[in-house]
Amino acid sequence: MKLFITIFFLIFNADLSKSVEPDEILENTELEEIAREIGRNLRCLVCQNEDIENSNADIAKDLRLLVRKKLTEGESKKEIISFVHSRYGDFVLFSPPFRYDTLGLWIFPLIFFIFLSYLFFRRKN
Amino acid sequence: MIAELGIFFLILTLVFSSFGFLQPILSNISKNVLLFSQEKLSVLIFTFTLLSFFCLAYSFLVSDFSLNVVVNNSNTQLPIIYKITGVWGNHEGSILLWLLVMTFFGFLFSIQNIKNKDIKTKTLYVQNTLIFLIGLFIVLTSNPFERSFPPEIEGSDLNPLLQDPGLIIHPPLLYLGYVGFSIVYSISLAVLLFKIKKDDFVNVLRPWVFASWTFLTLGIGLGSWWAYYELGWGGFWFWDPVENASLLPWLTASALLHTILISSKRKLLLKWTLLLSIITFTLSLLGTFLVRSGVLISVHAFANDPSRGLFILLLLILVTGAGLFFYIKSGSFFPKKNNINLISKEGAISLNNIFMLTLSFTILLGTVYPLFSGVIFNTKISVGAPFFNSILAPIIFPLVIGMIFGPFLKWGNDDFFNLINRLKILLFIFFIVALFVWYLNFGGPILSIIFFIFSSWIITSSLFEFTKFISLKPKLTFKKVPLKNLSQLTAHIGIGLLIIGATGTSILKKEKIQFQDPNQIISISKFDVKFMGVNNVEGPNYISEMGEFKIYKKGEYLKSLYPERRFYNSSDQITTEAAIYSTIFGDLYIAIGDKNSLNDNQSWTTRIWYNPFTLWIWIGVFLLSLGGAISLIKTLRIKN
Repeated sequence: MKLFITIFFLIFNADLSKSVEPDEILENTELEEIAREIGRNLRCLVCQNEDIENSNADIAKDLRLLVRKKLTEGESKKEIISFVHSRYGDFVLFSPPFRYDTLGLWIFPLIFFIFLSYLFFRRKN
Repeated sequence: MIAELGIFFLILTLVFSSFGFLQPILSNISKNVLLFSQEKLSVLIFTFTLLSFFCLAYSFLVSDFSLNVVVNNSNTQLPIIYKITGVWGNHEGSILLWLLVMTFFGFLFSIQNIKNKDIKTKTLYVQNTLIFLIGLFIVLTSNPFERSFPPEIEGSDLNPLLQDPGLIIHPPLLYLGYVGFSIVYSISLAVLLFKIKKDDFVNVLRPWVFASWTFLTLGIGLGSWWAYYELGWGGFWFWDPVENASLLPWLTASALLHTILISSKRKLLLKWTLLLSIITFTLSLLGTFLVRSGVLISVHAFANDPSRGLFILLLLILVTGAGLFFYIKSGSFFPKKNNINLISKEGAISLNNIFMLTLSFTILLGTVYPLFSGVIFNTKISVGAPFFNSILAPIIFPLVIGMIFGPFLKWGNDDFFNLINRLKILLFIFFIVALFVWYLNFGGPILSIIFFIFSSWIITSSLFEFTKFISLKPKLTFKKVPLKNLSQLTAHIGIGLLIIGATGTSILKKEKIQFQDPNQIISISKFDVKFMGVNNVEGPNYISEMGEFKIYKKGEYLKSLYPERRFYNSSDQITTEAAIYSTIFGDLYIAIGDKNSLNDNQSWTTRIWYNPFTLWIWIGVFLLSLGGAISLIKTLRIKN
């Protein structure tokens, strides 16, 4: 699976075990839980397929701290995600926004499903 | 010298495999040319590829640093076992392994006792042509025997992440799965291309489908297990493009497994079986293309060479194109069969196919969509774990429900109310089981309870099927369970366990991340974890910071765990070796990070997870493969 790691390894000389650091964690466990949830939806922009919670890159750390800062200031999950989105663009969202150019992600599987169902269960004479 | 022999053997492979397509073409012109038997050719091809592979392995073993692949992927300090696995820890070597497996399957097929000689020869035409194409790819773009000049004194080392026991057999197993489908493809294309009007091709196909599927399951499972303990993130599946790539053929092959039941028993969906076979191998190739060309940004994209990517793309178009072209061209030379009723065993298997393929299609779409949106809309988007998880649920549930009730449906035509009536006892048991599971998990996340209930229903319904083979009157007797039922029960129970494990590990995991002082105790779940400190330990080619943790449960000492961080001498790379204490209820998972630089009291960053039911994932994968193996044994028995 994760067989052929790692251009990223070579470039960043990364240590995979690093991610969320102890001193980043919020004391309020409920808020920390929300922070994790937000973090799982945000991509580490310089990494390969990693969310910010599982990345040791500086930008991921900055984003983690930003998310937690905004949470303690009382902002909601939605507000924080849309803030990060407006600042870094679509690429930062692991779950793409529902728009004309991403419509295919949901429409094509549906069409595919209907087409296959028709193929199997149509009445043949 | 050995390296030259290696390339020489490779060229011999190329020459002999070219008869795969030369023979049918030339025999049209004149009947008397090229009367080689394809069976004998297959034996020769396999022998030469094996010899070539041995030459490469030998070069790695003696650290022949005049070869580029050896310089880049090996080192004199490397333990012998990793010198050998280094052979396939790189692009060139792994494609040679791919070719070796392909010729191996051709060889096995050529010595298999198949009554229909026609189908055998023609399948080998296709298989040997495929071998020729892959061989050409190696010789033209990925020659593992390329010399470096002047020769280096020392190699740069095998990627430390690949220096791991799990990765000794993961790639070969995965390839046995991927490439096994080449024979499945060859049989199917031969049937379509040469219009072999016999429906007994299904019986020829069967053992190869089961064997490849079993290997692929084991390969994926092993890779997932490796990611779990080696990456130190406490997870087991990351929706990485390369993981997705291996899942695609697995899903279509799983659909194929079920369809083969209908096509061999009811002579239904014969053409569909052929199409699924073609799609499955195409997806195996696509997986290689996605991984090798580096077209998708992935943690695995280390082989960024456009000429290779282009070649694989052409190969992919050729293989897919040929399959689809002859599929369409063959028209309807199979007799039209009856309609399929939704409420019947055929109906359930059709639903299985529809959902499996939709899932495969959606994962493929999500994996390549960022490429398309980049080209067509000029937008840069990401599709990651949250998307895949959200589409997984609505597709998984119908599959699970089909898995629970499908086995109880009758062939041909069944009735819904009749089914309910037949399953009264089972439905009552389901109710009790659901209450029990709910009670055990009372107050837990609702999603995990739903998943637990459904997976225990799968297991219950499978076990309930066993009762068919037990009779109480006149006295308690156990009938012999037919292999067909046994394989299905085993595999379905495997899926049930897999879902429980995945749910526990992803939804119910507990986590403690902290600076831990020596002798400080961290409590997680029912365990107390005492940190004893960190020692430096020297390995064969690395220095390790090894933490020591003592695990207690209710004050009673259980075990010590030693998670490590390894610093490799030759490449300045660091790997994490998590330490895991597995129990049937959950894994205690410990990884260490940096020393706390803020104070002097020897405290370290420690990450401690409690992952409920992770062990069940691996048991589930094992049972799945066991189910596949039982089916394989059964089909081989029919033959003899």
